[in-house]
Amino acid sequence: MQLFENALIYIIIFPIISFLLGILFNYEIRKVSARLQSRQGPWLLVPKSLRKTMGTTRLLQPLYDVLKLLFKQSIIPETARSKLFIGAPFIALICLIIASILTPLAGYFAFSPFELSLVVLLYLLLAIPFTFILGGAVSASPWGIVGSQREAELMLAYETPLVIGAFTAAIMADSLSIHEILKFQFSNYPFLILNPFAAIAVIFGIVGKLHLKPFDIPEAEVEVVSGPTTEFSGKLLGILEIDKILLTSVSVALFINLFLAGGAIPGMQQYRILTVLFFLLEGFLIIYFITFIHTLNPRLRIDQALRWFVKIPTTLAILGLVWAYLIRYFILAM
Amino acid sequence: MEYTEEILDGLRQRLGRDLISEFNPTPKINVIHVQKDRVRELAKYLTQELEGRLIHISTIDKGLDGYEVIYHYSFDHIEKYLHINIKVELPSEDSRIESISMEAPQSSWSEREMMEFTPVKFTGHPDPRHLWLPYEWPNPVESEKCEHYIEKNGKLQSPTSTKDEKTSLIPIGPYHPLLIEGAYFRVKLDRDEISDVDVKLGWNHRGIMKLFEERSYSRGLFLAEHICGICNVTHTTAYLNAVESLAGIDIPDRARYIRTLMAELERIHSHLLWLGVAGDLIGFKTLFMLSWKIREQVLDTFDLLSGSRRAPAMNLIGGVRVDIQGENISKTLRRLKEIKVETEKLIKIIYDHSVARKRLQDIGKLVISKAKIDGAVGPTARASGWKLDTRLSSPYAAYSPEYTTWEIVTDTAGDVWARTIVRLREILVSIDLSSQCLETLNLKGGPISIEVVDPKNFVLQESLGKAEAPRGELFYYIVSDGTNIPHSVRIRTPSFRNNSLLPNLLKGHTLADAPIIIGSIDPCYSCTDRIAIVNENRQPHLKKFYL
Repeated sequence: MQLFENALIYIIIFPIISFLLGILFNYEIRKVSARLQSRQGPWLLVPKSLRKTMGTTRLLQPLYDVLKLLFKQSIIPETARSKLFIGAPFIALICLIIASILTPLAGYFAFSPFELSLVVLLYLLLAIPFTFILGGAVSASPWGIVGSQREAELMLAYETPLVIGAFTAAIMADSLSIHEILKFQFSNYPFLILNPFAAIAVIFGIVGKLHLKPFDIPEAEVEVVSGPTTEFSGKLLGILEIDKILLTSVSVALFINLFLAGGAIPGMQQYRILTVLFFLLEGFLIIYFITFIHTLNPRLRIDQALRWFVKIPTTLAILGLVWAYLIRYFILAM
Repeated sequence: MEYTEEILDGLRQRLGRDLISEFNPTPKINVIHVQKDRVRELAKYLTQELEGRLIHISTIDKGLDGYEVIYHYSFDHIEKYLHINIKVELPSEDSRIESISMEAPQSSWSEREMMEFTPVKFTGHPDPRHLWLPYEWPNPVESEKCEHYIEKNGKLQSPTSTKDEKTSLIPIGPYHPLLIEGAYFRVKLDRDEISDVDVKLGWNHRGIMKLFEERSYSRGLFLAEHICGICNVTHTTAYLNAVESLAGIDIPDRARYIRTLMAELERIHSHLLWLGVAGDLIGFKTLFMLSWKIREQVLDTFDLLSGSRRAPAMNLIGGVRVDIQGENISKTLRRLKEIKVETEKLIKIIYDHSVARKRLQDIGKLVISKAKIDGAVGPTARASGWKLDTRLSSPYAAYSPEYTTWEIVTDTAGDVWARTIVRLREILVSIDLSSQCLETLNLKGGPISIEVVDPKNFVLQESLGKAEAPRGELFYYIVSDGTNIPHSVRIRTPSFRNNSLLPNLLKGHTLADAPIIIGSIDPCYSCTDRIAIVNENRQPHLKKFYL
């Protein structure tokens, strides 16, 4: 499934596509939540009278917001440990770029398939919260420290269902390679149908990871200003925003790969255009669902969030694990 | 009236020869001069035995004659309109008086404020620090509590330099997304639990009360309107209640209804505004957007009726400025119906939202006994089950039963959820009250204002005016000296009293609950802090009287 022979081209193309996809996803989050709150949100089609100054569409509004930050001055607090403070957003960026190269998009791979690619990807995604914690902790702001502490607590809660849920897919496909997991789904059913428990657990894990409501506890504005990112400004904040955009697209793409056969309809994976269209459609549907959760909920307290994550998503993930064993060794084996 | 006589008789007997003079023109104004060493005993008797409330303590500088300290006790929750002012005169060379905050804890902040504004010293105060001045300012009296916040060299303690490693000092404000106001909460965290809180309401002295003393009564009205951006109708109403009882005027019925209508519309708008802010404080942006969308309609109604969206300037001495008639009444009634439907929808959303309920229930509990001791007012007191409402206890405008019928809203739980529910239900009561006023205005005609009296012929020397602001009881105390300019004006805002509850409410909760608990008393700092920039050309005091 390689379009180009040269792998280097993929290494450049994949992060860019991921980034653009992330911008579209972020636009959708903003637009849908705005409409639910009876606001306008960024225009999809700008009214004719305003087109001269604003352009035809504001679809790329999240990109403009990031670009604006990249042209601003960044202030580094005197009391912060400047090397770690500057380093944290970049470590996250590097992890995410590698993760986006490893994540197949609509059945296209940057690398030829290799064993354990799922494990590598999950580790790279696990590194993101750590860099956030690092950035907050070295910023020498009480809000950064409180935010980092919250992030550390919340991370334990949301990573558990995410990782368990991801591994159920591996168990069902009997392989730790994303390529094999996809192949298995092509010949059977998408895992969303075979194992909905794990899929729901992973979705909630993603909501926690993206810091959407009701789990935006580390960045709760009125409580801890902006949490770990309080002291970041200008270009560094811009890098952090790019991290968030990439994280959105990578985690959604991961979900589609693990549970929705990478956008393909089983048996019709050779029609590439159909797969690409379905990939996009499924991505937007997932974001739509997540945005509903984001918009219609207030923020939970940290102890309530932990309890909820243990009570529902983790239980579902474990249930999914048991279900995966049953499917793998009893139903499919027969 | 029997109860009034009973209390006054009790006081006369108790004081004996220490009662210097008394003056009881109306149940609202009972002035009793006493010797200064009886103040503590009286405070204990009046607040603990008779369950009266201490509204505020005022100090008036009388120049060479010394100072006058006035303790405003209110019994109107027991007997309608009953207030007793205990007056003590202090010579200017020895301006010390015993503190009563051990007997009546509600007086603690009032005394601190007075110590800061005037040379009067309240001896034996448990926490005699500055209330408004910055931490670094030299303290009037050394206090143990200072050490938590300030180091010996006068610097503010930094979050990391606390003596105990487990505790940290977290600054909330004065520049913080929690409240976009000048308030400052210095929160002492023991791990994740709040162990102590110190509050600074603002950083400015209340220049406004001084400004009142150099304007005529009618221009003072203009100033009162600009004290607060949210409850300006209530401020003018309270001010006028005081001025009109000084002058002995009774305003026409039509003006009463219009004043009530404006005040109730203001309550609807203020409660909706609070609901949005509370939603924001628990991270519920959607609730914020929805409730402020409804609030827009209320502001449009203000615009329709008075020509201004937020500061209607409706009240004048002796009546109101504009009449409300004809098409405006039917338009407003229609709009109120829409607001009612939308608000009921909103209430349903909040009632059924399990996550919102989880965040609001069982936090910031205020039991009724504590509410009474600390002197809670407004929805904060009512949510603890205390039937305290100025509209009910000292009816003004058209709140008394002969004009309108309405019921007081209370709840028993006393937590943040109860305060939310009380406010939500009050919106519905206010809509009902406004509709009643509009219907009566539609039926009956009549004058909207009457002639005012020359200050030379004022029937009283001093008077107090109260009104129920959306946040609670608002108190004005005005002393007249027969000229066109009041001798002194003292104001006690509801947020001033409710803010003093906050340290106790916050203790034992996590930092995550702090925003909504602070928000739950609906703090309004523009009332309390009173920064006002009045840009006008100073004129010499007006010789010819005009009101």
